[in-house]
Amino acid sequence: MNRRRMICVALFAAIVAVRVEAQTTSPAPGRLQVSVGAGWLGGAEFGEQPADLRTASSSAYRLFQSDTHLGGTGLFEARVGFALTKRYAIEGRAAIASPELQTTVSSDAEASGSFTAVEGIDQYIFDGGVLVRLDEWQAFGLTPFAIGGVGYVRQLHEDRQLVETGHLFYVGGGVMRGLFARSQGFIRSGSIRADLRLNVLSLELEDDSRPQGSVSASLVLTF
Amino acid sequence: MSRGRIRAWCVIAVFVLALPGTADAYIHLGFEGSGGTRAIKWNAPRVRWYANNGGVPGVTASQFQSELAQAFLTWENVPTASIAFEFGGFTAAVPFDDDDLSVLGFQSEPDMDRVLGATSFIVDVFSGTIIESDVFFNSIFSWSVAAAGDSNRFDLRSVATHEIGHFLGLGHSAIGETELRPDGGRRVLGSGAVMFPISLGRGVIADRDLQPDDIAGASDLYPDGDVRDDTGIVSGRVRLNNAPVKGAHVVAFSPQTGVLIGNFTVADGTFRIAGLSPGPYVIRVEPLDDADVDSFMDPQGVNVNFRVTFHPRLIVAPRGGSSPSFDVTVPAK
Repeated sequence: MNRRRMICVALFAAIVAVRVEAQTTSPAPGRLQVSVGAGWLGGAEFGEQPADLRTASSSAYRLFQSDTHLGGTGLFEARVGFALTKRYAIEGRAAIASPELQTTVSSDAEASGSFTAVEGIDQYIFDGGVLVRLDEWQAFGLTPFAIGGVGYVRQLHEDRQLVETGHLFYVGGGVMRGLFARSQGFIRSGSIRADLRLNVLSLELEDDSRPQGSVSASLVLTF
Repeated sequence: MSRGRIRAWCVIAVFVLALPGTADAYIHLGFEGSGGTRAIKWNAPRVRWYANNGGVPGVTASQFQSELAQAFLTWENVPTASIAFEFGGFTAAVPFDDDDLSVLGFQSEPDMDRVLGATSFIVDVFSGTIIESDVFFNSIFSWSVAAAGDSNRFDLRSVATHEIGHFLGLGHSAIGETELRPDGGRRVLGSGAVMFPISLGRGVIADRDLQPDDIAGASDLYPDGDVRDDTGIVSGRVRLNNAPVKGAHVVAFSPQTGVLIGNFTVADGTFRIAGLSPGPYVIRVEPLDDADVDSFMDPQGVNVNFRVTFHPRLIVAPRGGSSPSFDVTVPAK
């Protein structure tokens, strides 16, 4: 059983066991929250780039066309949060994903068909931001929230041949649902949380910023 | 100390041209010496050149010198290369005389009716140091110095920029596509380097400006500052039926920037492409079939009987280093 499947099973078991009506997801101010989760990091399009040659006229001679994108992939994340008030919290997150960079070459002047060249990338993200609970919109035991923040990206190309660093901005939101709450004990409450984020990455070797969406689910423990 | 000298020629022709002599693999010129292939280059920080004082119809000696100075400046301005030139003056000396003067000038060579210009060298064969390099421009053709070019004449500065690339020690680049003409010559469909061996034709001034492949070649031969720390190398081997392929043209293409930089495999099938900006590259391998093989290297042993092949992995050029060596297996035609 791989790591992602194990986490999904754990989350499912927690959902089944919960008595929703008795719980709250709102941590008391000053409480520390720790969460682990898994999800999906969406792909990104880098677009087409022609291999053009100079000609006697102003138009180019196309040797071939290329189209590059970063494939979607699973991600794992761990998060630490700190409740400032019942409404606001700050949190930091570490996430890892291993997407595949794919370049498809087509319309070659001397070869028929298309070809795809690939490369494995390890992407490490460390970010931090603010979480705002939207208790007034609570429904069906789900508490919505909004998040936003900034982060650092470290991207290792295949065989660790090249390290690319950069930064990211993210905005998003999600819902939380309480699993249990206790007035005493080391662990005061547990909840699950689902996030939907838009990440905008800017890496040193890329001319343009790159948007990448992500979804994830986490098990949250409040201490 | 006695000094061995060799003379090598590089030429740019109207249609098809040859490179007799000692052109070596890769985009640098070289020769076989004890201990293997040795690239030739200038070892002086500032290279002095002279202009022959004869003009041709449409180009005065003064215009000739001015265009050459611009072409030299084009190479001197490569930010990642450190080579400088100095005009020594006009001279009555002619190209290809062994006089320790590097002379550029017009000459009439009717027998070379497909050759626009040629560059020769006198080289210290022990060190590879260029002692003298002469360039001639064939006056049987009509030449232009018009700013926008002249559709009936060859642009002097474009051809001079090519020949001065040889003057530096660069060989021909194979980044280009051609088609055969009914007369047996070739027409350029497109070129990816000023150092492509066949001219784009009359009236075209595009080759006044260097392309990435030219810049990579000059930077590898005369690296400036931190260029070797800031750029990377991809290296590998091309094989056909489990045997090495000599003379395969290997091109690294950046899907981020569209840059094309190429090189050739040597006898053991290995290749090395330097001067790459760090990042992933598509590797394309093709036979040398867009000009005469001897425009690029000694044709003996060169294999052109394989199909264009893309390597299935993107190869990363690391910053300041070389990729692990990888094999590209090409299928026979």
